[in-house]
Amino acid sequence: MIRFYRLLLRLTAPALARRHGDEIALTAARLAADAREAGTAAWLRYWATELRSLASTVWQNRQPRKASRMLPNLWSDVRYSLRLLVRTPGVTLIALVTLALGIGANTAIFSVIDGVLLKPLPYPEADRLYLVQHTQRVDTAQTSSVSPGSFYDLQREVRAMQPMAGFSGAAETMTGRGDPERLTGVRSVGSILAVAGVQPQLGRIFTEDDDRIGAPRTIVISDGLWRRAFGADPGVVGQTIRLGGQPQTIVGVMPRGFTFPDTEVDFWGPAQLPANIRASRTEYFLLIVGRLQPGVTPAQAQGELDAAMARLRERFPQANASFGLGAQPFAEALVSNVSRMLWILMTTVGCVLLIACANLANLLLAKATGRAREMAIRQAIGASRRRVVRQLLVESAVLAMLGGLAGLAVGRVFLSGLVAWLPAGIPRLGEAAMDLRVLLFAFAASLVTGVGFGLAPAVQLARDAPAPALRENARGASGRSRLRPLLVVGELAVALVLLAGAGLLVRSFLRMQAVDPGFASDRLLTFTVRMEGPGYAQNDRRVAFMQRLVQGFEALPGVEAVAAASYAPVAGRGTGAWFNDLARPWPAGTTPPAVPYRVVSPGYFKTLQIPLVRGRLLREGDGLGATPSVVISESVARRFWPSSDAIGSEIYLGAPDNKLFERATVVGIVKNVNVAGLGSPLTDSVYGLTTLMPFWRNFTFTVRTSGDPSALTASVRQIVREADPSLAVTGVRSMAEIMRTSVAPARASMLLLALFAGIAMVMAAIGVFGVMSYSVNLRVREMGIRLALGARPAEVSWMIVRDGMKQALAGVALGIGGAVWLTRAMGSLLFEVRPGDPLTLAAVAAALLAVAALACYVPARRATCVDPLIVLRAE
Amino acid sequence: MTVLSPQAFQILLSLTAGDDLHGYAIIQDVRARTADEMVLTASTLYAAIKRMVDAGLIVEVDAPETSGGAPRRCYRITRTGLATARADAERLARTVEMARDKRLLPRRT
Repeated sequence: MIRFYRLLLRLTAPALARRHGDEIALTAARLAADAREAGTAAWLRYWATELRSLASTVWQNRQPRKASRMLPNLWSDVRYSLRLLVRTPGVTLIALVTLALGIGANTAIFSVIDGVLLKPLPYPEADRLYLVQHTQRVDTAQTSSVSPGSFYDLQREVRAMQPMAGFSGAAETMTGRGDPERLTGVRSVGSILAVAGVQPQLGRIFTEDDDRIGAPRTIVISDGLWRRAFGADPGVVGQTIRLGGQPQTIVGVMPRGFTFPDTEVDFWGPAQLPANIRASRTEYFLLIVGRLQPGVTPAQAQGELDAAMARLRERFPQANASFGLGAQPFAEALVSNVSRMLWILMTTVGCVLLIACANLANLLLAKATGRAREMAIRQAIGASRRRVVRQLLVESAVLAMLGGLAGLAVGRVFLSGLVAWLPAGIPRLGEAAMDLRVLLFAFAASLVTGVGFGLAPAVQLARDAPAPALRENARGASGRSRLRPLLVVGELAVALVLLAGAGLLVRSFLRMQAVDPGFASDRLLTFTVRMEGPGYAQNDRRVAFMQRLVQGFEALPGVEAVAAASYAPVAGRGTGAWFNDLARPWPAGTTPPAVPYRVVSPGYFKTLQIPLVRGRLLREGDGLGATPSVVISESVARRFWPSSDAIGSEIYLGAPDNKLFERATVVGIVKNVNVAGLGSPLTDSVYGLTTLMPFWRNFTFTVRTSGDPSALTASVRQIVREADPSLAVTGVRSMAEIMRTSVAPARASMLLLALFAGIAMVMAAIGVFGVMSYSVNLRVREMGIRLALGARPAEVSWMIVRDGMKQALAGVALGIGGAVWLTRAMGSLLFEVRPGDPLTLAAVAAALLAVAALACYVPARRATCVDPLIVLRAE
Repeated sequence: MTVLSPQAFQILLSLTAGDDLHGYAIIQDVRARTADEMVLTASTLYAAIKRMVDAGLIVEVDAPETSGGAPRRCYRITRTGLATARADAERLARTVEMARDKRLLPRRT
């Protein structure tokens, strides 16, 4: 507040501020501090008084400015502009609506960008936080998690990044407080809370000591969970809750709004990995965050990471041969998925504003032509050219400021729409708000816009020699301006680029929708049950319980088939493991490729209707018994047995010293299923029974129903509750919903870009229409004469359309060039469509030309309605 | 003869004791003496101070080193300032007399 006050002081009372600024600020700060002690109301009252008295001080000390008459002139210019705007309400309204939409859209997108990308993360010295991941040595853009063994080495060896912690997401069920509730948490090796450096509001954070083997189990909870589950009880520290069947002591509560690493997290706790996992080099599940030491550059830290990685490769070649290590600023890593999309959107709305500017410039040019006489008179009676230009610039600035004000209101509406429209899971989307920074942005945008669309007409008018305009019957010297067609060409080109971008996204979305997921996705209900707690410690207990649940669901009326699997299809890649063909071991020192695997019940293929390509499906007894067997997807068969038959081969998954199962025979090949979403090309899958890989605890059930799948939700929950009331049923969704979610980001970006490109097209069409109508008006006489001399109306209208279409073609040609160049930035957002796709370009070019033709045709028709007699009589 | 604004008069009154006061102290003193009847804001105070310095009624002096976080400059009344304040006080006293004569105020016993 005090900074704002100082700024205000400097702006309004520069003389006073020069002499006493520091003292005034200091005094005001002390007075404000006094008032604050009496409460917020007193503080507000104090500032109200202070500001009011500043205003009256300024008023009393105002001095007549003898040297410069700038300000009073400016004020009269503003008043004059306002009067003019009111006098032509139609033009004003069009201009204001255009501006409000343009500035509003820009303000809204900027708020999102500001909240998500630009504002620093809410941790102390957040710019020193780095995310460390494995990168593929052949393709450093491919990143992956780190094994605990490697993490401990890095933590010990990389001095440039201290403290350092590894973490992975955890979903655990809280029991013993009402219904079991599934919580989202973060389990950390080392203490990520120490790395984040944020103090808890209650108690303490957990430290590396809490992660020792045998240390009492502790967790720190979020403000949200504290309020939701504990009624904000200040005595919560020291209480014990059961998470995942294990008692854990709450040692702290983080402050409101704190979240790490990204969206809502309910708790943070030490991972307390067992000793064998701590030493593991082949299970990669940790992401690492580290804090750059003071005085250390990122390059130095990267150097240390590279050195440590080289040692790891040397000591554990098989586990690390293909890996490097990359450090990325944490804030950047958090939003790397969305930042490209957001910047494309920002560019798009920027372009829309540009087109709006071009239209307004045209509008004002047209209006200015009508005012050539007024300007000529002003200049003739002694106004300097500068003065005239200024008057015109003030007019557009006033218009732009009014538009900006309306734009703020529109922006608010857009912003709430945007937040609802953008797919869930964009980190920090909640921080997008219309704050002071956004206000400043909107103000700057309005000002730039005002000058942008006001400069051209102003300069043109001022440049016109006064004499011709003063002649009687003058038709406006600047009528045949060369600027107007250029503006139209430009806005058509920009509109084409936007349409091309939107067109590409629409095509790629349609492609995604047309993807055959490889199974029948209708009438499927999916949900997850996690078997936690001491009752499920033994493998056979879990397998038996899972079979019991499957039988229970099968007995429900309306259920056709039931299956359990480690992950549902489409929902995500799931876990992968090294793929090994026993007949062809990988050469020593190379890292085998990891392939996603699914642990399934025998009914999986029947329930999802995944077609068998060759061989046979899995059946009971294909587990650890006599015939351990697996089924693979077509893509796996093609990848590892490109020229031979996969069936009959023996494989194992995992590392030589850490196998998921000893060996199993490939007995069947099934059709490819999109495992990681419709937009992802990933279809590799190895399927094995729960009896083959009995270590799995977390099962997603799929139930095929004869009717509406969601109708079964209650009975499904009931069956689980009867079987074990301590287990939570989570993620109850229909398969259709999972498919929708998997394309939600593509859908959102497509809709948003299409919306703005549509607006751009309409605006460009209005621009063409405006220029054409205007030129028809100027040429009414010419038309009349042509018609009188015997030209056919069709010829006359063709002449007009031809004129307009020349501009449209030029704009489209320019736009195609721009689109080929600019849409390259969209490559990563597209699915099965290349940037610069000729079909898309042709389609949007045709659409834009058609709209432009229509915009030319209407004024052309009017031209032929000119009555030659009336025109000639007026001569 | 200069007629002082009520604010300027009060500021001079705060300084008549001879102490060098900084802005915050002046505001507190005026406020205490007038029982909250006159609460100066920072901008009003310094606008008045600027005028008074220009008129030679007060001068700026450096604050003693020990004053910690307080403003760095203090103000001291000049001879002219003292004379003006006295003259204005007499004018006010005469004004009060006139009000008494006209029975606006009760006669002093």
